[in-house]
Amino acid sequence: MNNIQDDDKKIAELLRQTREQEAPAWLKQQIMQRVYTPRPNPYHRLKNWFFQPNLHFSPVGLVAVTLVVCIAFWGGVMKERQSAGAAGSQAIAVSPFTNNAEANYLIGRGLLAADQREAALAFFHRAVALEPERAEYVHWQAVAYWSTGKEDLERQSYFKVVQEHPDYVPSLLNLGHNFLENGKYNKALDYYQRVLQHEPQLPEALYNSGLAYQRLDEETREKEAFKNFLETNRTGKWALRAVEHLHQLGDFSFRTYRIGMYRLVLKVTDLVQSAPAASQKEMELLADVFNHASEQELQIVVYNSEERSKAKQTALRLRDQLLRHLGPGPHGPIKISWFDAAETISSSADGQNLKLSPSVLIFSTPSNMDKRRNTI
Amino acid sequence: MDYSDEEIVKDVLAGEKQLFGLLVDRYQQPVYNLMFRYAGNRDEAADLTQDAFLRIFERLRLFQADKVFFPWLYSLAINLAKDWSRKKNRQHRKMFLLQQQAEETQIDTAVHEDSENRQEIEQVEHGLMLLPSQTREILILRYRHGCPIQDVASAFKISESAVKMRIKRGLAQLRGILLDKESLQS
Repeated sequence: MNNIQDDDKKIAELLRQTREQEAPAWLKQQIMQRVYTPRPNPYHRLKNWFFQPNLHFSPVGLVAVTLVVCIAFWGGVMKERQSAGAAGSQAIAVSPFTNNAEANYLIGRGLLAADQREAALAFFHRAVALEPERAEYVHWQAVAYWSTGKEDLERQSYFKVVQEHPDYVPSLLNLGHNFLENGKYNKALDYYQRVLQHEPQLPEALYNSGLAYQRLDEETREKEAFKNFLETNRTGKWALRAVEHLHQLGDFSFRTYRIGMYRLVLKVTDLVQSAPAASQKEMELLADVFNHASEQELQIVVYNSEERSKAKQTALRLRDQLLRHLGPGPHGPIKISWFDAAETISSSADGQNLKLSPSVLIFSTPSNMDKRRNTI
Repeated sequence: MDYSDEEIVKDVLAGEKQLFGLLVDRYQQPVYNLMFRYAGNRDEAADLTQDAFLRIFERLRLFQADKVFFPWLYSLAINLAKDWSRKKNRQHRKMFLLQQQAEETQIDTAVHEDSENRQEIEQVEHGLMLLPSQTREILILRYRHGCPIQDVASAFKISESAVKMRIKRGLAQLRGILLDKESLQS
């Protein structure tokens, strides 16, 4: 009996030591590419089901091929005709690898758009070989490497671009993404910082910096990054996500308000400031949205636990500013109220109630004007 | 900085798709190997691994946050491998063993460092491939990946006692296979 147990222990130990095959280096890239690619809609799935695989027709492919032919004609024929002057009157057939770098580059772009990745890569290689100093050619070669899962070559190409063109933002940005995706957050931040030196408001660099700081547990910088992002980006899912990130950190300087069917991000700290200039921009944003929600009644509620008069002052100021921005067109009624108490909200981080003061709550309800008319 | 799988899943579901790459980093190796054991060649294993991760990504919302992520992922991958396997005919199985041996021979030349222990491991690896696929995968999940019985049960959607029973039987079968080999060799 003991012998059997000993044998089983030994086999179990050997099982722990069994070897694994190495997954191909390009596998992750391919997976992520498929993750990023949206699923085809039901029409395309149905079409693929009917037409696979022998009779293949792709509208995108057709457009791409047409585009490639046009580009090849333009790049290969027209340019060479220009340089040849009057002698260019004869017809010239364009080989797949013309000696015109720009034509190769444009064909590569067209093929990449048509998902012909390996073919695109060959054209980018040619373009780079002809004009290695052109940053955009090397950059797009890197993109093609990415699309074919050649991660190391992708990075090498980006590095090559930024060595020779330290200000070339697209490559700096993609290097940032590359490092972020691979969990190298500090390196990602280095590149995002370099991007932001050139384009301080680039949304991807701002938002992803916040993500990288989150991963590094640097809360102060995370907050700063998401706030910077929200200073210039108030719509779309990324703005909503940035607000959620801040709320998770207990920072409610930005909040999301629902106005009819819209969700709007406003900077609360600017709304409650006594200087009118601070809340101007916020009220302008609110007016834009409220103009599209004319069936709604707007409620603005101001809280200030220290001084009721300040809460009232703020409510009146916000309404006046909003009315100025709304203009003469029709809009729903605006109601204001104020309280000498803190606003109680539920924290999304731990579900606990939080007290906010000073604070502003803005929401809308369907306007009941029609009902009143019926009642009368 | 170690972020749990569950935290990453939460963030991916919140819209940060790029973080799915971290899960791929963590688990592509076991999933690829699982697929390799079923498919028997690298290309097919890579394709199946891609399909598996895509399926995992698409079904991420179904993952229950109070569960452990790896067994859940593994169960999806196993189901995919089984589906694929059902579609293939028996001829493929014969090919599989031949190719498996060829692949392993390639590895052998690379890691030819060791002696007796290495031979024993090789014998166990060959023995594993002779077991029924579910028994084989249960043993691998339990011992190679160090999963607790509870997680193995969750991955295969069977009871814990059934897992224990299959492990016991699997070890007995392996013991028998190894014994046969030993006697043949001696």
